Amino acid sequence: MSRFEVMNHIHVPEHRLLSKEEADEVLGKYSISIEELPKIKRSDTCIRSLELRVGEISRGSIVKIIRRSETAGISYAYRLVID
Amino acid sequence: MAKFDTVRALTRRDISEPVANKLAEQGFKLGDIKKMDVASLTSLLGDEAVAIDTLQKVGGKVPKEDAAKPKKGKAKAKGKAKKKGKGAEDDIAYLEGASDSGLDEGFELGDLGVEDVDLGLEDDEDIIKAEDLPPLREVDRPLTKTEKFIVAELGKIDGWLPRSLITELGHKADTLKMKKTDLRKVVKKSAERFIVNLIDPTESAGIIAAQSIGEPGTQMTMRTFHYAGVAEINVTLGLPRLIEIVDARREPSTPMMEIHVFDEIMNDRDAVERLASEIEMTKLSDVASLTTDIINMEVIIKPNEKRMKRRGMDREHIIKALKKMRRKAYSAIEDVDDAIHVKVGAPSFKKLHALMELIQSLKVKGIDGIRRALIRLETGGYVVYTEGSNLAKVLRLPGVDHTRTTTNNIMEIYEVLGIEAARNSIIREASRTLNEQGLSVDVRHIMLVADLMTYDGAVRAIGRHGISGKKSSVLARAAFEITTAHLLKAGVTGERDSLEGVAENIIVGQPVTIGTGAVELVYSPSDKKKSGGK
Repeated sequence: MSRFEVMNHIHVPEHRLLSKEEADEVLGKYSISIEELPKIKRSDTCIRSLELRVGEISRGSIVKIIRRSETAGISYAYRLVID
Repeated sequence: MAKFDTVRALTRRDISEPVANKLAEQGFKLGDIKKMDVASLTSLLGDEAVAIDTLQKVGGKVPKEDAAKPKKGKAKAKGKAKKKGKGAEDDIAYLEGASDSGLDEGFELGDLGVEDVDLGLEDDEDIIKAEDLPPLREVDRPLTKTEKFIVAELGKIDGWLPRSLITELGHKADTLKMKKTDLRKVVKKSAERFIVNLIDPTESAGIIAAQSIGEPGTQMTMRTFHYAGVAEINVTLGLPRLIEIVDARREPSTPMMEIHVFDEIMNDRDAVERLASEIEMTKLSDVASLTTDIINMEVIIKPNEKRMKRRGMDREHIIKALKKMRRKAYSAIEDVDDAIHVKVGAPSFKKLHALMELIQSLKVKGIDGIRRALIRLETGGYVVYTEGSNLAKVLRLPGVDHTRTTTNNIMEIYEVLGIEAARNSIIREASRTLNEQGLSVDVRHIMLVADLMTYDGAVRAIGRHGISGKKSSVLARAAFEITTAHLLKAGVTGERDSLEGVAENIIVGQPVTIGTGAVELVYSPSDKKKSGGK
């Protein structure tokens, strides 16, 4: 691991891009509209790193974040990508 | 309206109208386009030459040959921007002496004996093939057989348990060697109890969190004292630190970094010491003895060979740094056999004295902002603790373990590692602060605060400059701080308050929209038994 890779840092959880179908499923599951999600900026280092692997991430996409949680072991969070 | 602004901003920079319109149509702002790389822009516009041209005009990065210049400019700009804020006074002394510093000067690859080549700092901005990227670590640990069984059972009864409980149950079941039928019963019962123990919907979790953190806060001291454990480094503790965290201050009053190194050099004290001295800002007075010569009106610098060698530098470094001083401060620099003479020019004691001060504190080596670097032996290896923080630069040094190195400056973590890392940082720092004072606050309350602070994608303060100030209700803001200003402004501009929140409903005297009040009951009479109309 010689090169700096932000996603490998211990404080940084895993970020995954959701497809349109997966995104709609999440919105349906929690009965929310898309603006009610927490946000993440497109210029966020993790989004930029993710973009190198999966291609451009446009505004309006939803990112699934898999966190290590003290209370729940693993917890999933979702963030809407904004500018 | 924003789109029109974007189009105008682009055409003002000499970009053709159709291109500008196309970009604005897609919803990109000027900042976005600046940050794009050639490939993405080309795919948007269809023509690579146009893309490169547009990028140049917007001020973005153009790859390959011109890559070196704008990158360096960006690094410098980043470094300078960090000077604003509380740490600024410390930097002023050396700022007056040198105009540039930072990693670029005193660092040679291979100094540490670690096999590492890539110092290509900001190159995550270049176009990189996916195969060349370093692999990511796995977060999801695969389930054991017992755990899988539990998950399957939960699926059958349409129940849910968090992963930590599943793991605990699985572990217990394995230890006791439970039969499947018994485990099935346990899982069912667990899922039921879990639902019972969940917090009720519309419970005022925020207020509970606030009180749970605030109450122990009253038991915290306002004093700050030495960081127990790491000799000499002072870190803000207790209530002042908690206030810093919650106020989302740009720079903590005592920034500190914990730098871990890679396995290969983790136990090599010399290598780690060398790394520490590379990072630590070295002043001229650390590596040379300085005397003033009143007769010749000059400052005589005698470099100390041993000390210079320990920090891995030589006379050239000193001379380079000297040359960066303000032109007016000196008239000439002479390099004689064993000493360097810096003449003042004017026959003024005051000027000579000023020159002496300047030279003494002149920064010769090290990374911006790192005032001191100390080594400490911990279980597992040597760790470098620094007074002062510069995460962006330090993480990219060869030898530094960029997966474990951290800082207590939350803004830096946000900028370098992203919003999720910042959220984790807030939780860690706040928990640590409270625990050190002997107070135990359940982490959930702190997690709620951290979630709220990072909700928008950036780190916002809790107070009136952040979250509380953004509330849409006039009455809520007026009740919080600066009462008359808010009321006056609202009156003048004709604002409406939709009375959706807690504070405004209390003021007006209506039931609050929490708990019972969050539910609106609607009664729909059933007309099964009745015949005819309602």
